Amino acid sequence: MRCDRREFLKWSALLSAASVVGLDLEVPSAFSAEAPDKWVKSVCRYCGAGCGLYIGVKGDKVVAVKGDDKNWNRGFLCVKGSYLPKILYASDRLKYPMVKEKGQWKRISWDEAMNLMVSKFAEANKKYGPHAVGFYGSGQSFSEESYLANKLFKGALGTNNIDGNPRLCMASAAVGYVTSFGKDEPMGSYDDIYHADCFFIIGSNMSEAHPVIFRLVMEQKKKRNVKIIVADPRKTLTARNADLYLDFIPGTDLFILNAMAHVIIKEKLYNKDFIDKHVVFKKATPDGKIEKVSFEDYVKFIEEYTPELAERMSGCPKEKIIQAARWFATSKATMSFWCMGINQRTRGVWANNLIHNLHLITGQICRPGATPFSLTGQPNACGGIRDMGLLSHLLPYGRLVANEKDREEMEKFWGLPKGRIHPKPGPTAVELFTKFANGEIKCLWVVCTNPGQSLPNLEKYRKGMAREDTFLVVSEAYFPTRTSELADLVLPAALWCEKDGTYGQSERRYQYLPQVVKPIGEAKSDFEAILTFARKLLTALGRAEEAKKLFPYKTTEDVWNEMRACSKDTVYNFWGMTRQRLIKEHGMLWPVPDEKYPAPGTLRRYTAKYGDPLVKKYDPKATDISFYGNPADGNRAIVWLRPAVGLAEPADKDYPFVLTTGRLIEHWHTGTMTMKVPELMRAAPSAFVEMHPDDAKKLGVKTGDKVRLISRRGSIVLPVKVVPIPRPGVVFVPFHYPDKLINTLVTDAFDALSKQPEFKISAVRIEKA
Amino acid sequence: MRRFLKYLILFIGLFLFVISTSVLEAKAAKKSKAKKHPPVETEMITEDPLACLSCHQKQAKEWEGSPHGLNQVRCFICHGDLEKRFEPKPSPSNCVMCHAEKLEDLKKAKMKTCFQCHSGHTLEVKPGSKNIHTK
Amino acid sequence: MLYLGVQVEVETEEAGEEVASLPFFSLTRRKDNIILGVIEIKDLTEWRSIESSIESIPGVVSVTILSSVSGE
Repeated sequence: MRCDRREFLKWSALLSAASVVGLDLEVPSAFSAEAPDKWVKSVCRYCGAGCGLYIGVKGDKVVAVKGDDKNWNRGFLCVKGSYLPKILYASDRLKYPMVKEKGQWKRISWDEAMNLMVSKFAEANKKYGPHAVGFYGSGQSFSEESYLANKLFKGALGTNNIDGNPRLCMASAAVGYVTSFGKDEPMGSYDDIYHADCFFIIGSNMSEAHPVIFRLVMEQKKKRNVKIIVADPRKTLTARNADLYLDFIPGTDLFILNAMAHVIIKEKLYNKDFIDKHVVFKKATPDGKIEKVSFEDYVKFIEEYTPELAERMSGCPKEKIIQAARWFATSKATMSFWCMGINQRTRGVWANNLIHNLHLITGQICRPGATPFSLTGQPNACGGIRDMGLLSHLLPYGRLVANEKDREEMEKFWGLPKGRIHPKPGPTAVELFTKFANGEIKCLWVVCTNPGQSLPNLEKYRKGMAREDTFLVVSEAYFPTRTSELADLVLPAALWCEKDGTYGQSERRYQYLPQVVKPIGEAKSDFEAILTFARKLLTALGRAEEAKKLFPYKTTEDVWNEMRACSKDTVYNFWGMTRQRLIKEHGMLWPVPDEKYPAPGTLRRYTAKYGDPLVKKYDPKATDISFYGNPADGNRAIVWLRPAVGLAEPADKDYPFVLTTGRLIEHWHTGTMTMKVPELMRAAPSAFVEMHPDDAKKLGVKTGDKVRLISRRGSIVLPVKVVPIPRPGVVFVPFHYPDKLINTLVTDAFDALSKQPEFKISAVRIEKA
Repeated sequence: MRRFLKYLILFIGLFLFVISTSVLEAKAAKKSKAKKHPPVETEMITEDPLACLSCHQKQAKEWEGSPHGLNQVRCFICHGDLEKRFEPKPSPSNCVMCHAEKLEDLKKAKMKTCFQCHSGHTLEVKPGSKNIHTK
Repeated sequence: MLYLGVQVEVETEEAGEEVASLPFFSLTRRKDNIILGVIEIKDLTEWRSIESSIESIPGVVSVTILSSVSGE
């Protein structure tokens, strides 16, 4: 209770009144609209937009949230974020560790759980070597937690059997940025929305998946004469707000993107000066070699991608493609947004490159409003997994496992003997679970994610996780989930503001989330669990001294300071983001090279004129723009000659429909949190398949009828929702529902460069059920 | 003496309490049931993104063009899940997550609800309303 | 400023909910048909308009001041 004078006077009045009517003041009011005791600055638990908010605390309970009006979201939250308090107090919160014995779950203590886990992992390590164990992390864990896991597995144990769920959503975008610019992550920020005149949104339903960012775009539409282009095989809520809507057969966007480039070249809308100064052209030969080519070679290559060809291949009218290209090139500043429609593809990296190409040949980049902006799905895929390098081929802050110099640098930084870090990149998500399924990996720890619902071609990997002779540990806040039901040991995890740490969202904004309430029951933060496990495991392996040296930390701040130091000599440099600064500010955008560097940090990278402090350091001769992430090509960005190729599993006569999966606004990912909120459940209670009226007519079904979807991997029965949203020939199913595992139907073919699976396009046939 | 007074006040308070509860019990008979939303199908699979549209066309159309419609603040946010919480006239406390400052303005102005000045669903300001929002 | 301990008697659930969620009615507590809470006012003229606005809610039986505390 706040004890200022005003509160005191109010309570005096109430007490007097209560004594007259004999009212017991301990009885809580179900209707009370009174204020929390305090509001604590924090961040939303859900998507990669990373909205700032304040958490309202009353006593030891979270009772409310309100948007942070001083953060980029200006006080707004979406329907999911609005109900965050309810997720903490769901009745199925996991309160204590449990082990599965003879098919039954038995409650055990943390000590017992840790000792069991340590003995299993140590035994596997001793018997079969360092690569017999693995870790599957999450873009929802705090950066400090992921850092501990990364240091333990890659550094202490010397295995790269550690990957994370951003492999399933952001890998193509990450490799897209790296191949086009040398280093990962967008160069722009949400601030560019206020300056762009043209928005190009492709493979993204922003209105439902990133509502608060979309709100900013729509605000600009109301205020200024901006143009919105949306390209999507579904006429989503986002598409309905477009000035120009491009509808196309799924997978043919590569033709459209190349055709847009064709128009830009043909109609001389490209920026030759920019190209001459800042761009090189490259292509990959069929046998995998990289060749540098000329602008003229690019012009020749792009010649075959006429709008006519694109129309023939995609079904999108060529006039629209031409219009899109003209608007893109000629607007004062063009900003692109894309998400899973582009990333979750077997040619996801190429699709990303083609978007970057459009920005590079027109010079629509590195100035306010002009930027290619990849939307991130999870709250900390950027900060904790991509930037901090948890993925199996990465080391922290832009370093690579395969690069000898980078390995030596990290070995020195971590105080490891030379050669400790394994030189071969480890298995990626699908490969990791394949190795676990075939028994190559004996022990796997899954933290803060739900692969038992989210992996593609699900049945195969669920069977693998259920194997009797392997050991699966799952750290989760709820029980059961579709993953923990397959586990041998479950650990109760602290959720959201029950622990503290850092999140880094889509626009390179790192934000601190403080601990606001105690974890429920015996739940502990994953930070504490990983730290305890690391120390005990190394001790069990006879390396107690090493445990003390590598894991001396007491608080998350200790780890954060080590991370800051690790970033110092890289393009990520956030040395200036001390914990105190993050507590004070409303997040900061890296690079922030020193403590004096003013908030909010760096809004635009690779441009000295618009405030990137690292241009001076890495490319002192540059006058403004420098893609210093790519010194090998003279600090230039790369335009890739990428042919438009087909899909892993296009529709054919046996499976004539394209199944695409995706999100609804009410739920987030596998629904473990949002499905605890009655309002959200009421709004979106169950799975369905969205079908175009023409297809419904042919099949003889109407809304509410049940149909069976069958793919080469599995089948599922769902009620139909007949709406003119998906293209004819395309059906859409949300992936949120644990009782309708749509991913059992989805292909696990993945991109050769990013290893990201093609969730977006599988072939199905549909029958009345 | 003080102690006696204290007990006297408590006794009077208790006496008043006993009187008031017996009066309340008599009045309790008059109490009518809280308004309940008619039952809806559990699956609620409809053509429209808003399952409520089939019965509430007019309101849904008004909502679509409003700031809430553009930002997808859907029906259940204001009106509840229809079972545990059903508010035909939403309470202003539902608005705090995005409009905390406006709620403070409302409290300061001693007004009952946002809908005194803002029409339901369209959220348009009713003519003749006094602007209580400073920012 | 005056802090009034106010009792509002209601005869329906709906009225009870509406009264309890009035934005200027703080620290509200409920017992059967009575809602108790605190209203902050500058002077008694302000009270008169608040009193009539609460009474105008359908289902409200009576509005009574039970206590008052003054302070700045």
